[in-house]
Amino acid sequence: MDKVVINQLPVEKLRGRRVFVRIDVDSEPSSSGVLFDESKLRSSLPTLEYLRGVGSRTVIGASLGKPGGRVVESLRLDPVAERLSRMLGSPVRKLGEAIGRDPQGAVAGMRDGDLLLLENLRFYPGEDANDADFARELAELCDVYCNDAFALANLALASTVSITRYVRPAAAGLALARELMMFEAALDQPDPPFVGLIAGARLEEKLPILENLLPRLNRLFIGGALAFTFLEAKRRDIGSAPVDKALLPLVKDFLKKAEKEVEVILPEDFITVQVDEFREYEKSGRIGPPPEWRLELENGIPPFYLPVDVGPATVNRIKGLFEGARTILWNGPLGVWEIEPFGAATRAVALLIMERVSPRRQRSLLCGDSLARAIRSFNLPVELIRHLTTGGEPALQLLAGNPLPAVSALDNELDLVAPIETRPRRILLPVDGSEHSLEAARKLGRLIDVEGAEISLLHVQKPEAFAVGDVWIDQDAKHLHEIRRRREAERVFDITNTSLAQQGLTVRQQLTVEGDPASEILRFADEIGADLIVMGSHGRTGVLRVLMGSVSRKVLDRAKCPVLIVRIPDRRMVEVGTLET
Amino acid sequence: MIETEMDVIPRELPRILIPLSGADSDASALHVAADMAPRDAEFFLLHARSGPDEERYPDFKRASEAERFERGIESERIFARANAILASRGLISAGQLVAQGAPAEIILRVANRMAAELIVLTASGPRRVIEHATCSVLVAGPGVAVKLAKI
Repeated sequence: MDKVVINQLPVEKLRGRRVFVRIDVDSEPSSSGVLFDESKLRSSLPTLEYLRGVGSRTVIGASLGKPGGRVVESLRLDPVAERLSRMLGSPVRKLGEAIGRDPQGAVAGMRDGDLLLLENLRFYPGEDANDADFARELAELCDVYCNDAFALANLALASTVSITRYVRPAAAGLALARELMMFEAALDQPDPPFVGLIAGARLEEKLPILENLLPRLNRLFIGGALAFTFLEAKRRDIGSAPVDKALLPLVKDFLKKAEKEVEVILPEDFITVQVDEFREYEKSGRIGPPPEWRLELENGIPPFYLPVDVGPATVNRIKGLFEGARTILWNGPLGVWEIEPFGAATRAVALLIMERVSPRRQRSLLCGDSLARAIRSFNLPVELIRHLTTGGEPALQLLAGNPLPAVSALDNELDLVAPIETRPRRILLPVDGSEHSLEAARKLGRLIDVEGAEISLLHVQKPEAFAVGDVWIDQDAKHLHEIRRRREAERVFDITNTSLAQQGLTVRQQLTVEGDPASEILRFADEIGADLIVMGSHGRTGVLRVLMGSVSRKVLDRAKCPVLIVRIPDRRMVEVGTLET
Repeated sequence: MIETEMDVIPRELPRILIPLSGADSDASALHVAADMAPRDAEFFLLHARSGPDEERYPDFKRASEAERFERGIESERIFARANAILASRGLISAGQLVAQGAPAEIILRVANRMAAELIVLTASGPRRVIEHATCSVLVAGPGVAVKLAKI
């Protein structure tokens, strides 16, 4: 990402300085009135806690609801300040205004590590108008600007765009940076096969997204209400499904263009209801049982029947698409999820992502306000879903390839970035030629940052039994023994070095010693000032119950540096019960 | 995109799980992870809360709304601290989870479920995790004096 992130700024630019953080707490108006969105508030905690930790004087700006540029009592931010205080375990003072003499006085009286929340920025007409004067007044309250409100990034507001003209540096907050990185990974360098699942309604908004994604995707599934116009373009019998006639020619063009680049998949079956019954049900305010449904194939929906969800065959098809995918993008629900039985397909696919996609190393990105609402309504542990974005509209803009004004406004000057402190790590890798120690060598580069590391190999051999102290009884035996030992050590170092070389790693030193393995490892670690000891170890072996070797355990208990225990997956275990390093 | 491009070797980012208990020692696990792990790794935070295992015994008396709310606040505080420490090391976590039960069991369960490749533990972390984990474990042992960056 080319934008400066708040934690990349040197700490001295933050300590004791006034930092303005724009956060987003807005939620959909609910029946119980306008409440702030806890999950959005949570997402800005890392930035706020970081700034508090480094000793910034943090001035928080937020907005809630649509007060239309005037004070609306019910939209004051006091509950937000209270919740923030509790979550951070540190008081967040709330002001009754956002600009003027009071906030200036309050900010002047702040101490390092203090947090202060300004009043709802939308109480001022200048906020939505991206007004320079209002922005300048906010800018007077701070030395550093930080935007952590991804869900607002598509808007040009005084507190997200104009203000950056008056405050430098202007950095991205941690939550905003995380979102942008997720999109970058999925859109700029997607791991193929890249599968797109674009559903929901609003064809006119989704067409630019489809156009933009086309050259990147390998397979494209179009579902939800979007699919109707595509099915119509293919002359399917889709009953009373609403079709966007005006866009039909564009859809036909798109399909023709898509044919050459990507496999376009449309739903195979639908859950349908009688259109009159459905309208009645809608009119009644969705009271009572929903209309009876029947399953129909995509090309056989009778007239007067309306598709409200995709059917099981389609869900199965999506499952198949996911199986082979490495990057998955999902936007928009598949059916009328607000009515319980018709959210089944959306729920099934969300479960699929949670249970099958997220645990594997497939990358998935779920976006869109209604999809997010749908998934939250299913009561699934959303945190297991990777990655559900917090911003609906900005996500769609990114998918359509459009820049976000509030992100463009941030600095990308690299000279602001503090260099990350690096020192060569000293890594001690005890080796014995067993599968375990080899696995440790094989995985080293994957599990540890080995950039510039100094790797030392240590091969500990057991003292020979026919030596009494240092005195050998038989000189020939001694000679033979030495040769054998040397050869063994060479073999062990060779295979280890080969494995390391395959990861582009070279060894600084390799040493063979005799003695008790654990003691020798610990002694040598001290001697070279090791930052890390890497040991191979069994996975669980069931019957033999060899869980962790005594050497590993002893090293773990007594090491002065961290110890990495590298596991061999059970299936790769060749010598169960071998002595470990 | 043409099909042949699908043969490209995937760039899988290593997934690293950092269990947190809310104790001060969390900081050393986070610093060790930041010190040692590859910069492109995905760091996941897990608040492993001890208490009745709600996944294993779903019929067990569920906590009241108020209790759950309080717990949520506590977890958020722990995550906020942890994220701030990672941030001070130039890192951003990729996700955070909360689970209640026997900490070792939760950690192993979550690590398996999310296919973590590495678990980072402190000396006070549950020993059973080190012994039973099917993935690799990075341990900041009792002798490790972690120089905590002042944040």
